[in-house]
Amino acid sequence: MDAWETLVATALVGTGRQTPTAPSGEAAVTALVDQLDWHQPEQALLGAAGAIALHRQIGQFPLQPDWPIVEPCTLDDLPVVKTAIARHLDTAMNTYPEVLPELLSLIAQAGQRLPERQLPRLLQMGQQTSALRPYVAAVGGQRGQWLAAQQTDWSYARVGGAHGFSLDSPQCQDLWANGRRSERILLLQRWREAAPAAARAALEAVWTTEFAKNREAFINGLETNLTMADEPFLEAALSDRAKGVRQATANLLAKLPESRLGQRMAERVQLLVQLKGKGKRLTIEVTLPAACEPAWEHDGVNTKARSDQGQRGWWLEQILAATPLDIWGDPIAAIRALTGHPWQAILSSGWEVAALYQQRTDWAAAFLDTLESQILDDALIGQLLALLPLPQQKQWLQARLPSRPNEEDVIRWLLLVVRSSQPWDLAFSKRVLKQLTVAAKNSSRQAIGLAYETRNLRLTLHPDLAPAVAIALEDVTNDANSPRHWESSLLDLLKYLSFRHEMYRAFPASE
Amino acid sequence: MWTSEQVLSLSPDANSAKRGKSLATVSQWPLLGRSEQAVWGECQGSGKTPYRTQIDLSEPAFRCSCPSRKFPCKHGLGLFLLLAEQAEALPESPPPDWVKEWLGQRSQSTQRKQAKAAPGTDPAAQAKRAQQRAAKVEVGLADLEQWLQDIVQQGLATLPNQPYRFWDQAAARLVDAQAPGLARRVRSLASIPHSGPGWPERMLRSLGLLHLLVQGYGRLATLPPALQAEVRSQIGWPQTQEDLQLRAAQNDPLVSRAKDIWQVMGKVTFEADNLKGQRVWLRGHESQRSAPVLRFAHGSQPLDVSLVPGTGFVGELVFYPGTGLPRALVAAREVAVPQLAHQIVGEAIAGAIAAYAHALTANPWLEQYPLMLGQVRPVWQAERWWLQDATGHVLPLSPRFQHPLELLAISGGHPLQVFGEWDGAVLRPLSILTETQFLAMED
Repeated sequence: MDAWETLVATALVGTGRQTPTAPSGEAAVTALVDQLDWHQPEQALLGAAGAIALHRQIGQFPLQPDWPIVEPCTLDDLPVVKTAIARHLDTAMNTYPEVLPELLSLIAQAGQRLPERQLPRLLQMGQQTSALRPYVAAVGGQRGQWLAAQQTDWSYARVGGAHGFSLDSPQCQDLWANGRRSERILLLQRWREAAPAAARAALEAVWTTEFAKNREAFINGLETNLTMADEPFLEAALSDRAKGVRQATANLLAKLPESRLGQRMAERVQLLVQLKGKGKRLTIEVTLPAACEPAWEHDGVNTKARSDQGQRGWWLEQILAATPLDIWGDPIAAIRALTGHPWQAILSSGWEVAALYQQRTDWAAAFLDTLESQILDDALIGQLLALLPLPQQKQWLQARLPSRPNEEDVIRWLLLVVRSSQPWDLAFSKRVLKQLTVAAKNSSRQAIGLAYETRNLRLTLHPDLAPAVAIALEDVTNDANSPRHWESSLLDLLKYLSFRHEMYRAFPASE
Repeated sequence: MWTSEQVLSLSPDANSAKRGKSLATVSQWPLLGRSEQAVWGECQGSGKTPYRTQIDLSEPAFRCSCPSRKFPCKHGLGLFLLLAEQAEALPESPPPDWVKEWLGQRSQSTQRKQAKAAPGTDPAAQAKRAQQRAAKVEVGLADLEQWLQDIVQQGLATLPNQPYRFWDQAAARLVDAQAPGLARRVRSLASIPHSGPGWPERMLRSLGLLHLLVQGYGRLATLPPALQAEVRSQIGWPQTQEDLQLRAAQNDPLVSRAKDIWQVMGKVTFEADNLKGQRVWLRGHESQRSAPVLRFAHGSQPLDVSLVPGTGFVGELVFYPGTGLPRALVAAREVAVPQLAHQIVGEAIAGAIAAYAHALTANPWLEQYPLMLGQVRPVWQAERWWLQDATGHVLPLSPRFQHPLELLAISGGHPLQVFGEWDGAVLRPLSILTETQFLAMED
């Protein structure tokens, strides 16, 4: 033990139990402690402690360990966004996180990257919210990828953005071979966007060695740029060991009407559902299946129905959903014949899902035009509406614009707009605002629910609408009859639109 | 001219910084304007009338009509950020009356301050007060020495079981004895027994240094004058600014003064006994000399915000008597120099630590020492963050430092210049100097 350790040991038990003696050591220390009076042990011990501690502190040298040096990040990187955008990013992270995908996309489009200092917090947010990850990964630049490689929780961002994305790079190859699942899913998605066939080939090469959970996630990843070229691989995957993989595969194949699965479904359905007659005289004859055959199950038909459903109807609904819609001919005639049909609910759900799966604009339009008032599920209307090209959606909604400020019509129309979730142009946004003002002068219960749902409009209305919203807000505030919750809803809308308005202004090149 | 980093370093707390940032958008300011000397704006709050916010840029000084007790308030920060980031959004215009009025008041009060510099105190009464104080301190120190001896007599092993009261009461007795410097040191002992492995060593070291201080005071007359002043200052003997300036004017040999281009390197705020304190580190461009400037504010009083990290000024500092690293008072600010940081070159770790050892030789009770390190990289090793320089020397970062990952992101594995406070065991980074930027690390 050296002089210091001896002192500490004595002090720990106390001079009451152990009489200290003058510690010996280096000459400098000895010279110091010899001057102390060790007949007064407490005082001497404290004096020696102060002197030796100080001596040690003064003589302390920094360590020089032999640690490996981390390869620094390349300095050849995308340009950093300007300060105003960095500030908007801060504001979005603190106050408007819902706007982050929009803002990060704008940065990615401008071919820029985040300031280094903001990277840790944003990578952290991406770690917590997986939906944000592709956006974050796209704007980190080289620095973001480098940082992600240092911190395992952020490894998802090692994939990087579309800029400079190269499949053959050793970095990507290494990530695909050794990365974590979250990284590989993101990589596969990027890969499918750039080169769908090569991505599938890479997946086929490792397929048999992957865990079931990975296989399921990767199959879902093939949805990006799905074509008939993927069909042989998917058809084989229908016989996978894992149920989750089989189900995910069947769902993808149902989106390819020309697939073998689609053809098998068509053969099955022809024995169960027949269309007789033509045009307005068209009738539909339905025979419910007696049993769910094993071959159906192999193609993804789920035997167990929800408790409030009949099993046989449920089987039929699923077969309809996976059957190519072309076998039914004209969608308008077919949908008209549904009205009042005893199996209307089953037939229409099956066809609606098929229309969504097969991205059939004509069927979506036919449903919306013919059966809109009977489709109870607003979310489904929104999805069908979203299938239509934007001008057509606008046309459809404009055609249904309430002619009079009738409360019920206005609210129903606004709900449709809220659910369709599109980025609207300024002219249409103004129409929406006009209806909102009508609804805001209303205090019915339904209108209260709507006030809440206007949250969705914060991201879909045109940012240039902000000044008009400010005027409308003043109007509502001054109107004593307007309920307070509308005031706060409009204020909230205004805050978001103003923020987005300024955000867009910070990107001069984009329009 | 001003950067966002500099503006945000003025924020009284993290929350104000956050709110200030959200107010840095043009749409929330129906009125904005600026002149050579000031910026102003009206900010729409939740009430009917907008808040009137104004900043005198010469210091800077803030004023806002909002009821917030924060200083500067979020409106002040938001307005300042707008100036730093979107100066084009603030049109140059003649100041409105409410701005003119305030600027007028300010220049008057500055003149008044200068006029009252020479205090007319009664020397006899002063000497009597000093005598009374000396008597009280003497009793307090004898009491402290007994307390220290009792601890080592009973053994440090008993300390982890002592309640906070044990430390607090000892500290309170020292406050009564008018030795607040010692009281603060005693109170800070309370956390050592719970600070993990090696605590007995740290405790014994602190007790030993306290003992040396008591001994030093006991034979004050035998010490060199500068060390006498240091011991008195460590005990907490009051030193007023007026007194210091008077001594400087009388060419007191213990009071040195230095003219230089002073760069504000970093700022730390802390709380102690109902007091808010702030330690600002200045560095002389010509002399390379470092100087801490300490300022305190009671309760809800605002702390001074005129020293902004990343900026600088040509001016004169007066140094309090003492040894090692005497604290300074800003005596005169002549010209503001917005950005100097790029010309600073930091030193290697070994050299910086040698300078620290040298200062410690002169002042054993030195607590924080400024390190301006060049060519260091942040490294994660052995479950903690370090800075490593080109020769491979390392210093551990304080576990209380909040932004090691920002440091890593900014470096990208490349060497940086880091300014920070070294306490003999860990380094707390306060600012980073890249080739193009001065980045203050907020708390």
